[in-house]
Amino acid sequence: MKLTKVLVKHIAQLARVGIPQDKLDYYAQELSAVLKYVEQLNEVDTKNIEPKANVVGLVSVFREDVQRIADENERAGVVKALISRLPFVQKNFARVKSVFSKED
Amino acid sequence: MPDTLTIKDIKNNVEKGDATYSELASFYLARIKDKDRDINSFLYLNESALDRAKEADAELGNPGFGELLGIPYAVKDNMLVKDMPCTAGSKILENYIAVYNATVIEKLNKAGAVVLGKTNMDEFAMGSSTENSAFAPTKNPHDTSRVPGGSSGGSAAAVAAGFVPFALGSDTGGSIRQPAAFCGVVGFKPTYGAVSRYGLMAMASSLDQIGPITNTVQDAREVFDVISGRDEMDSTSIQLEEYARDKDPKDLKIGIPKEYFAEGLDPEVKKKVLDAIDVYKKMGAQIKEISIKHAPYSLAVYYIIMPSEASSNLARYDGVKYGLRIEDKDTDGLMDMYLKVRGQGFGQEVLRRIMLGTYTLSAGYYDAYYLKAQKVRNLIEEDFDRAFEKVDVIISPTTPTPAFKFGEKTQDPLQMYLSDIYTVSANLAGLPCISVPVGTVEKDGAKLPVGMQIFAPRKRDHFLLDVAEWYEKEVNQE
Repeated sequence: MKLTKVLVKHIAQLARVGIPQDKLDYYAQELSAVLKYVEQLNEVDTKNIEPKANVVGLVSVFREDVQRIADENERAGVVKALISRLPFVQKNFARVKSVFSKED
Repeated sequence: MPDTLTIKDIKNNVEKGDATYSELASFYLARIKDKDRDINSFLYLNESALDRAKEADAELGNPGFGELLGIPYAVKDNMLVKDMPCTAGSKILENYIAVYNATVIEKLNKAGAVVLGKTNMDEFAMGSSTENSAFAPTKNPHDTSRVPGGSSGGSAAAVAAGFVPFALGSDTGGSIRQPAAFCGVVGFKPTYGAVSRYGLMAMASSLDQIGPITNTVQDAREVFDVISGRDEMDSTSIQLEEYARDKDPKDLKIGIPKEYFAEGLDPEVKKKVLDAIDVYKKMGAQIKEISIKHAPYSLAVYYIIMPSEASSNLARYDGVKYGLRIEDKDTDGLMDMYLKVRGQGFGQEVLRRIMLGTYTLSAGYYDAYYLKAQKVRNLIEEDFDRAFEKVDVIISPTTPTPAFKFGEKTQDPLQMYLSDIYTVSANLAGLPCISVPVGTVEKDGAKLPVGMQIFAPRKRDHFLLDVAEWYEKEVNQE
C-alpha cells in the first residue's frame, strides 16, 4: 500500500497528531516503506487459523461494582497531586479548549 | 573495588563488615556523577538514596530484613517511582512527576533495595539504540562511538559501566535483551504476565514485560524472585508455580532453530554463539536442529501489532490531564489543542508508529493488517509449542550484529527495526527469554560483546534461569 499525502493528513487527523504540511511527504514515504515490508504476511496461508490476541488465555472477569470510600486525608492528597499535574487548571478542574472551534 | 560488583559481592562485603550500605550508595553516586558524563545513562539521580541506605544499615541484622536490603539499582524511565520525574524519554512528559509507585518498585522497596535514579531510553520505548530519546543518546561503555542498544539502553549501559549492580528494563520486542547483548550484561524477559506491569507506561499491552538487567544470571534470579507474582492491580499478571529441579545438563535437549542462523547473521557473532552451545554439549546436553517455520515473519507481525496497540495506548497523552503545556492563546478549539500538543510533544519515531497503528486499525484495513498479523502470531506460537515438544530450550543469537555506530541506522527505520529480528518472537509467543554474554568480537579495534539468547516454554522461567546459570558456572570455571 502506497500512502498519499492526502491519506497521511487524514490518518494524522484521526490519530490527533499535528503534522506540518512540509512533513507529509516524508511520512508518506516512511509509512509506505513499513507497510510494504509488513505486507510479506500475504505470503502466509492463514485460512482456518484463529487470530491470537493474547498468549495467556485471558478471559474477562467482572467484579461487583462497589463503592470504596478512601480515607479523607488520603483522598485530599491524591486530588492535590492530580490537580498539580494539570497543564491548565481552574479551581479543582482541568481547563480545556471549547469542543467547537471558530471554524465549526 | 573492582569495576562491577554483583549483588552477591555486595552482600558478602557488607556481611564481612568491609563496607556499609551508605558507603556503597555514596560510592555509586560519586561514580555516576564522575563517569556518567561520558555515557549519559541516567536522566535523573536520586540524591536521597543516601538517607535510604543509612536506614538499610540500621535494619541490617534485624530479623526478616529484605532480600535486597541496601542494594542500589536504577529504573528505566517508563516506570513510575513516586515523587520522581518520569519522562519515558519524551518531551511530552518532560516535567511529569510520578504520583504513585509501580508494583515492581513497591516490591523492591519492601525488599530493601535503594533507587539510585532513572535511566535513559528511546522515547516511549520505541527504538533500538536510545537515539530516539528526546534528550540525548546513551553511549555504549565498551565503545562510546557505538549505541548501547535500546530501548532500555540506559539501564544496560548503567549496569555495564558499573554504576549500579542491577537495573530494571522493559521488553516489548527485545528492549531488555538487545541492549543487554550490546553492553555485555545479562538481560531477562520473563514469561508474559510473570511480573506486574502496574505503573509501567504501556506501549503494546499484549507484548510488554518488565525484567531485570544484571551482571550475572544469579543476580537476575534474585531480582526476578522479588518482582514476580500475581498482582491484583494488573489483571494480566500470573503466579508462577515452583518447579522441581529434576534436570541437570546431561538431560538437557537444546533446539537450534535454523531460521535464526541464516542470512544476515554476522559470521563472528554466529561463531561465538555456536561456541557457547558447544559448552552445553561438553556438559552432556543433546543438540538438535529444529525449525520455527514462521519465525522469518515475526518482525512483520510485530510491526503491525505493536504500532496498533501503541496508537491506542498513547491516546492518553492528550495535553489535558498532565504533560506538555502549550500556551493556548491562538489555539482554536479542542481538536487544534490535541494536534499541537501531540504533534509537538512526540518525536518522529513515536509519530510514525502512532500513525501506522491508526492506519492498520482503521475501518477497511483492520482485516488486512491487524487481524492477519494476529493469525500469523498464532502460527508462530504454534511453531514454538511444537518445538518444545522435542526440546527443553531453544538457543539463538540475541542480535544479528554487535553494537552499531551512532547514526548508522537512523536514516532508514527498517534497518533499525531489523536489529530486533531475533528478539521479537519471544514477545509474540509470550515466552521467557534471557540474553547471556558469550564473549566479544573485534570490530575496528574495539572489543564488542555478543549475546546468546535462550528461550524456554511459558512459565518455565525458573528452569530457564537454571539452564543459563549452568553455562555461566561452566565458563567461569574454565
